[in-house]
Amino acid sequence: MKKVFAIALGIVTAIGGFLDAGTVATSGEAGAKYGFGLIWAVILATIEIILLVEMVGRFTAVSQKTYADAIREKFGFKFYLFPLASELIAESLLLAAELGGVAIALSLLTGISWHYLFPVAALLVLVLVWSASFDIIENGPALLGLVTLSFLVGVILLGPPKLTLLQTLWKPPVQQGQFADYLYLVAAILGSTISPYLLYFYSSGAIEEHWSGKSLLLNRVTAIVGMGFGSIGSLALLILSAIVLRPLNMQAGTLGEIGLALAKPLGIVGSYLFAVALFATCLGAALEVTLAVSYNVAQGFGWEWGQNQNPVQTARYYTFMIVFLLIAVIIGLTGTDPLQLALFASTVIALFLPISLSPFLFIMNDPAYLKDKTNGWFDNTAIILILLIAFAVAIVSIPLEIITGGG
Amino acid sequence: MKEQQQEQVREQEREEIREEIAPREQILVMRNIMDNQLESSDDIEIGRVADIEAELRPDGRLVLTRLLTGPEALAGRISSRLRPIVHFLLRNHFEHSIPIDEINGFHPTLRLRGRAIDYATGESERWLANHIFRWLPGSGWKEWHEQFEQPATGAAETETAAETRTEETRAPGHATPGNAAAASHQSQHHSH
Repeated sequence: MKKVFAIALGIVTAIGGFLDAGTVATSGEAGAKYGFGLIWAVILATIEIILLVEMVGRFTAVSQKTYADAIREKFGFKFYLFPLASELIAESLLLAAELGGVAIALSLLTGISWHYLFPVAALLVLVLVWSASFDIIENGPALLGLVTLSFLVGVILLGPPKLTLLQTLWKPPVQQGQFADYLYLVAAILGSTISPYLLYFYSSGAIEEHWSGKSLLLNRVTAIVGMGFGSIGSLALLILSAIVLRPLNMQAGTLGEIGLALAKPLGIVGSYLFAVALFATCLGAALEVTLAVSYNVAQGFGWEWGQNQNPVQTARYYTFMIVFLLIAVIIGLTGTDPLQLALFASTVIALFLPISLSPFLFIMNDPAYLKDKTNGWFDNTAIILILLIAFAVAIVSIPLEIITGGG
Repeated sequence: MKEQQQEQVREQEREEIREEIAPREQILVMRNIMDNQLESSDDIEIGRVADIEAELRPDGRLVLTRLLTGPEALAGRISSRLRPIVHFLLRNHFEHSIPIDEINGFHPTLRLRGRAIDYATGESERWLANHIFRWLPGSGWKEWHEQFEQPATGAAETETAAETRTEETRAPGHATPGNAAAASHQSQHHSH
């Protein structure tokens, strides 16, 4: 019974915790600009994240090591600095975007400018990481995040899409001069879904929850069913934006604008549901990003770490966490729009994916860690292909986006 | 009498470790323990092996003597040119070494014989706890201080006893500028 409950909780939290500022921004903008023309990218990214989460869970359950431990021990300190640096750059941008998302959600609920609410969001995250246990951080916002299923309700209430919109599924409406922007969004979708922070968070969480070889079923079900269904929220938001915002020529340029997509089928309740969904998903992601990067640094340098201990027992881990939060607050206080920041952070993550994840391929094929549970050829081929796609798209689209100024 | 028995047991363990690592395998061991986790006997992760110090004995044996931790050793791993710069900035303040005899067996996690408080490695954790975290609400400093810091007198006794065991073992942590420099020099040849 306990096992069934653990599996159910794992699935539910994976569904509720799938979205974040990056996925909300990319799904909303993709639907509004290109109709269903980027659904393929969401599906591709979902397949990739299912594979990666299953692998990292298997790795930690069998080896009792986290991903950061393994990178440092197998490749040495010098190599470890590359994924670490890429994580610090990309995730500090992402954390600033997530805090901005929380602030905008609070702004939608209270009417106060998000600029004033940004420090409040940062303070809320600080208080939670300081005082809450791992279970609360993992499950609390994710359970609240189930409200993202209202996106699916919205799609059902709107009814079937028009044929012209359906055609965008196989014929994306990319007009002249928009190709760079299209590629930029592909990279952002891949980067926002396949965020390496998830790997650090998931593997550290497996240690926090004392996973062992017996947890492999829980891991597999959580990865496949939880992440698979979790992508429904992302797909539903993309479809909503395509049905509601695209005909109005709205580009989903802000998170608030994306929220209008839910207001059409559900009225004022839809607006509030979107605000709550945005709050829950961005808060959950902000907590996970903060923890993931702190876990990474603490494990890489061999410090005591863990969310289930008093802060004083893991003083270096908590000190880094506070410094990292401060960096994100400084980035956020520059006033950059959280949606644009989320898109940029997601594209940067896509660019860094080969650096972040290539060690993973080697580790997952090392019997010294995984005994007889190493990767098969399918896992390896799929990961390499998708990593290459993400990298190629990001490296082409970022300069193009800068040169063309987004047009 | 009891101390003598303890010392005999320790000496036997040291001999076992020496025999365990055949000379041809010593370089392999050196490679393998680089970057490994250091964990004290009270289950506290205090750092990772940043570098190692080895001695070439007159009989031609290469003997691993100390494990190094700290930013200077790490800087040396990135580039030999970086090490003097970091040394100029930090002046050995954060460099520590642990005698090889302190290791209780060679496993992926290197388990040490002493408690965390016995080693200077990880001192920054305690400094942060005692100087900053104690003032922060909800940090759990009071309970931690009562549990881990108060029996420090016991730790001091352990250390004193340990120092009498052998002049090479223990003297936990603090790398003198001399031995850190030696470590730096030697490890450039053996550690990478």
